[in-house]
Amino acid sequence: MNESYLTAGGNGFRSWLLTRDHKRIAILYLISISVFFMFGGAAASMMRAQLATPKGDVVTSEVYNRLFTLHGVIMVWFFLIPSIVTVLGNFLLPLMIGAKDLAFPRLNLASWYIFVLGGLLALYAILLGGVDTGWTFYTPYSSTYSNSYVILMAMGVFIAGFSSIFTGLNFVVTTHKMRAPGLHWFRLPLFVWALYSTSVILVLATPVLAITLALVALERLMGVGVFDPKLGGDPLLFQHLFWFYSHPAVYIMILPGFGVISEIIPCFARKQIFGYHFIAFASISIAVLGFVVWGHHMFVSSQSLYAGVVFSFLSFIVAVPSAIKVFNWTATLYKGRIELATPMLYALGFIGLFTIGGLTGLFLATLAVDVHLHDTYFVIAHFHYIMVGGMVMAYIGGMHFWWPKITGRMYPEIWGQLSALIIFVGFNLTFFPQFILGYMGMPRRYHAYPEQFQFLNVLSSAGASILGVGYLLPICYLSWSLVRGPKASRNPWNATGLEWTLADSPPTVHNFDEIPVVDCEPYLYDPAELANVKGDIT
Amino acid sequence: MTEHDPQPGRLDPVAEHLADPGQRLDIARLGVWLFLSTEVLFFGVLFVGFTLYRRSYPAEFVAASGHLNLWLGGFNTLVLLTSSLFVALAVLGADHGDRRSSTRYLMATLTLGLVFLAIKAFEWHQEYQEHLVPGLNFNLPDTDAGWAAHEQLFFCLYFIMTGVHAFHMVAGSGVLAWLILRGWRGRGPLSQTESIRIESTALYWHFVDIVWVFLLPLLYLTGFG
Amino acid sequence: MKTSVLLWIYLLLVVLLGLTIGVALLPLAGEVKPAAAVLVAVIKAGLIGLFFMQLRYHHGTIRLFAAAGAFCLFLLFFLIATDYFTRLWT
Repeated sequence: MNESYLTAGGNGFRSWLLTRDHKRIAILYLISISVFFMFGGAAASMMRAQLATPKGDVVTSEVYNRLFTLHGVIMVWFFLIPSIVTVLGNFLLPLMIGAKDLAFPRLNLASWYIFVLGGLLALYAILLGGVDTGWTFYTPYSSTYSNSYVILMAMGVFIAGFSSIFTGLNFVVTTHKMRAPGLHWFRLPLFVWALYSTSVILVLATPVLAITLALVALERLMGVGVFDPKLGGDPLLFQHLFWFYSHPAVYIMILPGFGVISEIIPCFARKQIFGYHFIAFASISIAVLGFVVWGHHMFVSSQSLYAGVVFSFLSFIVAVPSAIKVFNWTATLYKGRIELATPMLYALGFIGLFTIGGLTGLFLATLAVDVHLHDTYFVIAHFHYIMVGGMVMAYIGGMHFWWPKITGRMYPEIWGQLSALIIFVGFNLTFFPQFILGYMGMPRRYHAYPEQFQFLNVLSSAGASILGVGYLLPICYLSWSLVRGPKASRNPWNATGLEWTLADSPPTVHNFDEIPVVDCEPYLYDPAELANVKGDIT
Repeated sequence: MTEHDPQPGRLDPVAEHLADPGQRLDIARLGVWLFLSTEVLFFGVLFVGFTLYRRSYPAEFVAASGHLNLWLGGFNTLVLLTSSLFVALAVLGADHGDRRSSTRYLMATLTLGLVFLAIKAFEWHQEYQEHLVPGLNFNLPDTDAGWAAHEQLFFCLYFIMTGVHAFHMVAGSGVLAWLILRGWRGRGPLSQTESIRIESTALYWHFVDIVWVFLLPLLYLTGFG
Repeated sequence: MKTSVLLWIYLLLVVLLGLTIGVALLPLAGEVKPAAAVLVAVIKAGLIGLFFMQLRYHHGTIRLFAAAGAFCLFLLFFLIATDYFTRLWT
C-alpha cells in the first residue's frame, strides 16, 4: 500500500511500458532524452575537434554540415524542448498541485511513445547519412536542392511535435482543473506558473512548425510547392513560418528553467521569494511576447526594413520580463542565509550565465549591430549561454534538487559541487571565446576558418573537453547513488511545497493518501532552519 | 453540464482520480477546445499563405479559381452544414442519455461525411482530367509561362488545403464509425463516458466544418466576375 | 439547448450559404466580393461556434481557450503582413 511508484505494480517491461503513472512516464522520458543528449553531444565533440585547427581535416565540409545539423536538430527537439517539461514537469506537476495524476494519463503515455517514434525516425535519417540543411531547414535548399534525408528528418520532428502538443495540453488542463482545494492560482509554486506558460507556447506554436515542415516535405516529394520561387513562391514565407514557432520554442526551452531556479533559490537562501506576483506575471508575459519577436532572426534576409524595426522594438520589450526575474532572484538572495549546496551552485551559475546570454541578445536585437553579427559565432555564443549556461544548468540543478524525491536516494554532495564547478569553468572556456570570434567576424557553420581565429578556437575546443567531463561526472555519481547512495528522508532540504511536505521520497503510486487542503502561501522559509545539506538518513 | 445524471459506466481504474462527473466533463471540454485551438493554427498557416499569395497574384488566382466547380463546392458546403446539424442533434440525444437517437444521428452525420468525401474525390478526379494537378500533370496550354506558374501556385494551395481538410474528415469519419459501433453494441442509457466521447467528436466535426466554411469563399468564390 | 434552436440556426446557415454563392455570381467590382464572402464565412463560423458548439452556454475558461488559437493566428498574420505590405515602401 505504501510502496513507492518505482516498485509498485511490478517491475517488468510491461508495467513500465504500459504505465499511466506520470512519475514513471517522467523516468521513461529521462532515459530517452539522455540517450539523445549523447548523440547531440557526440556531434558537438566532433565539431569542436574539427575546429581546433583552421584547415579542418577531421571531417569533410559535407560531413561537417551534417554534423551541425544533427547537433541542432537533436539538441533542440529531442533534448532541450522535452527536458525539464517532460522529466521534472511530468513528475512534479501533479505533486505540486496536490493531484494524483495528470488530467489525461493515457495521453501522457501516448506522448512518450510519439516522442520516441519521432526520435527513431530522426535517428534513422542520421544513420542513413543525415541532413545538411542546418536545423533551420531553410528553403529552397531544403525543399529542392539538398541531397540529404530531409523528408525523413522533417517527419521525425513533425511527429515529435505532437508529443509536445499533447504534453502541453495535458499540463494546461491539469493546472486549471486539478488543483487541490485552497490552492488558488497565486498560491501555486512558480515552477507551476513556468510550466503553464511553457505549455501555452507548446500548444499554440508547435502546430505551425508541424504544417510548415509538412509543406517542405511535400514540396520535396512532389517537386513543386508553395515555397518554390519558380512558381512565384517566397522562400521568406518559410522563414516567417519557421521562426514563428522557433522563436517561441526558445522560450519553451528556457521558461521551465526559470521555474526551477525560482524553486531552488528560496530554498537555499532560506527566504521567501521576492516579488512572487512579478515572477508569475513575467512568465505569462514572456509566453505572450515571445510570439511577436520572431523577425529578429530575419533582419538580413530581405525582410522589409519596417518590419525589422517593429521586430527589433518588440525584441527589446521581451527582454524586460526576463530581467524582472533576474532582479527578483537577486533580491531573494540579498540578506538570505545562503547555502552553497549543489542545486544552489547551478542556480547561481544560471543567473550569471543567463544574464550574459540575455544581454547579448539585445546586441543582436539591435538592427545595425545585427548586420555585422548575424550568422557569426556571436550568435552561437549568445544562444549557448542561454541554452547551455542557462537551461542545461537549470536542468541539472533541478535534477539534483529533486533527485531525493524522484529516487529516494541522496547523491554524494562533494561530487555534486565539484561537477558544478567543472561545468561552469568548462562552459565559459568553451563559449566566451566565441563571442570574440563572432565579433571578429568568424562565420558560423563553417568547417574551416582563417588562421587568425585559431587561438580562440583552440580555447573553445579545450573548454569543450572540460565541459564533457563535467557532464559525465553527474551521470556516473547519480547512477551510483541509485544503488549505493544513502536513502533520503521525505524532505531532506527542509523545502516548502507539497511534493516535499506531504509526499514520500520516492512517492507512492497515487502521490497522496488524501488530497491535501492548502491554506498558506508558498515559500514560507524560515532563515533559522537550515536546508540541512547533508540530507537525512532514514 | 449534462441534463441527466448518468451512470459513470465502466470507469477506467486510473480515472478514479477524476471522481467527480462534473469535473470529468469540464476537463474533457477544455481538452477538446485546446486541441481545436492547435488545429486553428495548423490550418491557419495555410490560410495565411493563401491570402499572401492571393495578394501578390490576384489576377492569376482569380483565373485559377475559375477552373473549380462552384456548384459542387457549394453543394458540399450544404452537405457539411447538414452533417453538423445532425451531429449537434446527436449530442442533444446523448445529453438525455438516449442511445438510439444519438446513434442514429451519428449515422446520418457519417453518411453525409462520406457523401462529402465522395464529391471531393470526384472533383479531384475532374481536376486531374483537366491537367490541374501540380507535380503530376499540371499543364495550362496557350498560357504565358509566368502566368501559368502562378496559377499552379494556386493549385498547390488548393490541393494541400482541401487535402489536409479531407484527411481530417477521414479521421473524423473513422471516429464516428467507432462511436456508432459502440452505440449499437451497448445497452441501456448512455454512460457519461460515452456521452463525453460523442460531444468531443461533435466539437471536432463542427470545427472541420468551420474550416470548410472558410475554404469555400477563398478557393471557390474568388473566380467569378 | 433545444432542438428548435438548432434547426433555426441551421436554416440561417443555409440562407447565408445561398447568399454567399449569390453574391459570387453577381458582377461586382474588385475586392468587394472576396471581402463579403469572407465576412459571411465569419458569421457562419460564429453561428456554428456559438450554437452548435455551445460556446454561448459555456464558461469563461472554455471561451478563452477557443479564442486563444484565433488570437495567435491573428498575430501570425498581422506581423507577417507587416513584412509583405511594407516591402515596396522606400
